[in-house]
Amino acid sequence: MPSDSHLHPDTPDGELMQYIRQGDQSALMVFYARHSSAVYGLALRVLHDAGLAEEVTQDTFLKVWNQADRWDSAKGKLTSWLLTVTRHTAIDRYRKLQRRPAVSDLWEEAESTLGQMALVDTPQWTDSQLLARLFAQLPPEQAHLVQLAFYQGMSHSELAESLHLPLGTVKTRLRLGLQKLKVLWQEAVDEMGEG
Amino acid sequence: MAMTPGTEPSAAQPNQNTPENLCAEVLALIPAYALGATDPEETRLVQMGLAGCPDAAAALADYTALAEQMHFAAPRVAAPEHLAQRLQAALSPQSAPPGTPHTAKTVEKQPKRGGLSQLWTFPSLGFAAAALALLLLITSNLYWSNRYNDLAAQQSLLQRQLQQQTTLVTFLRAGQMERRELASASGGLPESRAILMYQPTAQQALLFAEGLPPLSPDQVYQLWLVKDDNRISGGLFQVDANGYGLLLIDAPLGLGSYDRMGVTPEPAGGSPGPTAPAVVRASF
Repeated sequence: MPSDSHLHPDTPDGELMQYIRQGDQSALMVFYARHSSAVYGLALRVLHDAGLAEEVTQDTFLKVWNQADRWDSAKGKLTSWLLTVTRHTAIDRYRKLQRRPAVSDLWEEAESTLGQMALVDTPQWTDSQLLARLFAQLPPEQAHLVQLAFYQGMSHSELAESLHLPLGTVKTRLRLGLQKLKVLWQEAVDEMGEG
Repeated sequence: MAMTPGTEPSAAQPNQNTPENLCAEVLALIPAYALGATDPEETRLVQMGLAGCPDAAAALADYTALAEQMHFAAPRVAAPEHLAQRLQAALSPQSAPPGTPHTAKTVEKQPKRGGLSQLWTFPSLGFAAAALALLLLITSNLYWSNRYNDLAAQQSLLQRQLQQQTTLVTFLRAGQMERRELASASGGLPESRAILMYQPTAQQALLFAEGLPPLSPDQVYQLWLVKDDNRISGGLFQVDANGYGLLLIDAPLGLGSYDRMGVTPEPAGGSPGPTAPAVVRASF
C-alpha cells in the first residue's frame, strides 16, 4: 500500500480513485471523509432510519472499494456515480425490508429537507440545493409524487396503489411536476449564468 | 400532448399505431423514465421507441441531467463518527479490491546466520519476537487510524462552522429583525427558553436557545415549524453544557407565515416527526 504522504485534503477525486483501485485504504478513507455526509444524508432521506442509513453508507463505500473499476470518468462525474450507487443501494434495502412508511410521513419528511442546515462545499451541491428550493414552487401534489418516485424508487403503478389515485392521474401529475421542475431549474441556472 | 388527470391513455398501448403517436407516447413517458419511475412495459416501450424519436432522445438527455442533480438535493448529514471506524474494520480483512494486480513477490536473500537471525535458532525466542513485532504493528496501526479519523472529523467540523459563520454574518447584515420568544414547555426546565430573530417574509432566521437540558451524544434538538397543522423540520442543533445553542433556520416559507414552533429532543440525524415532549414552544 502506498504511504499516506501522497494524499492531502485537496487530492482530486479522480486521483483518489486511482489509488483506491490500487488497494490504497487511506485513499478510500479520504474519499469517505469527503463524501460520507452526502451519502449518509441521501441514505437517511430514502430510509428514514439512522441505523439502516449507516449500513447503506458502509455498503456504498465498500462497493466503491470493490467495484472502483466500474466508474468510468468518461461517462459521468464521480459524485453522481457515488450517489446513484447510494440511492440504488438504499432503495434495494428499503424494498427488501418492505418498510413502506405512511405516505403522509414521507411527505412531511420530504418537506423537512428544505429546512435542514447542511454543508455547502461544491458548486454542484449548491446548484442542487437550489433545486431543493424549487420543489417548493411546484404544486404540492406534484412535488409529492416527484419526491416519492425519486427517493423511494416507486413506479407509476406503485404510486397509484400507495396513494389510492387513478394511474392516469399519477402519470399526469408526475410528468407535469417534472416538466415544471426542469423549466424552473433551467431558468434559475440561466439567471445564475447571466449574473 | 394535453391530457387531463385520469384520462391519460395507457402508455404501453398507443391509441393508433402510427410513428407519430408512438413518439408522442414515448415523449410523455420520458420524464418518468429518466427518474426510473416507469413500469416495466412502459420502460420497454420507451426503449423500443427512442431510436426513432429524436425529440424523445433529446428530452431524455435533459431529464437525465435533472435526475442526476436531484441526487444532490438531499440534505447532507454528518455520518456518525463510529461509522468511519466500522468501514475501516470492514476493509481490514480485504487487503486490496478484487482484481487488483498483485505486485511481484521478491525472493529475499537468505540472511547470514548471526545477529538477530540467531533468534530463529531458539524457536521460543523467535515466536516471542514475532508476536511482539505484530503487537507493535497493530498498536501503531490503531493509533494512526484513530488519529486519521480525528483529523477527518475536525476538518468536517471546521468546514461546517465556517459555512455557518459566513451565513450568519450575511443574515445579521440583512436589516431590521423582529423577536419572538419560545417559552418553556413540559419537556424542558423552568429556565428553558429560545429567542427567534427573524424578518417575517424572510426564509432565514436565527434561534437562540438557553437553559435547555444538555443531551446525550446520540441526541440533537430539532425545531418544528407548523402552518395550518402541517409540520416540517426547521433544522437540528445542539446545546453546550450550559444549555446554550444556536440554529440558523432555513425554511421553505417566510418565518412570519408559521402558526406555531416547538423544539424537541430527537435521535441524532433528526426524526420525521416529534418523538418527545417539546422543551420550548410558542404559538403566533
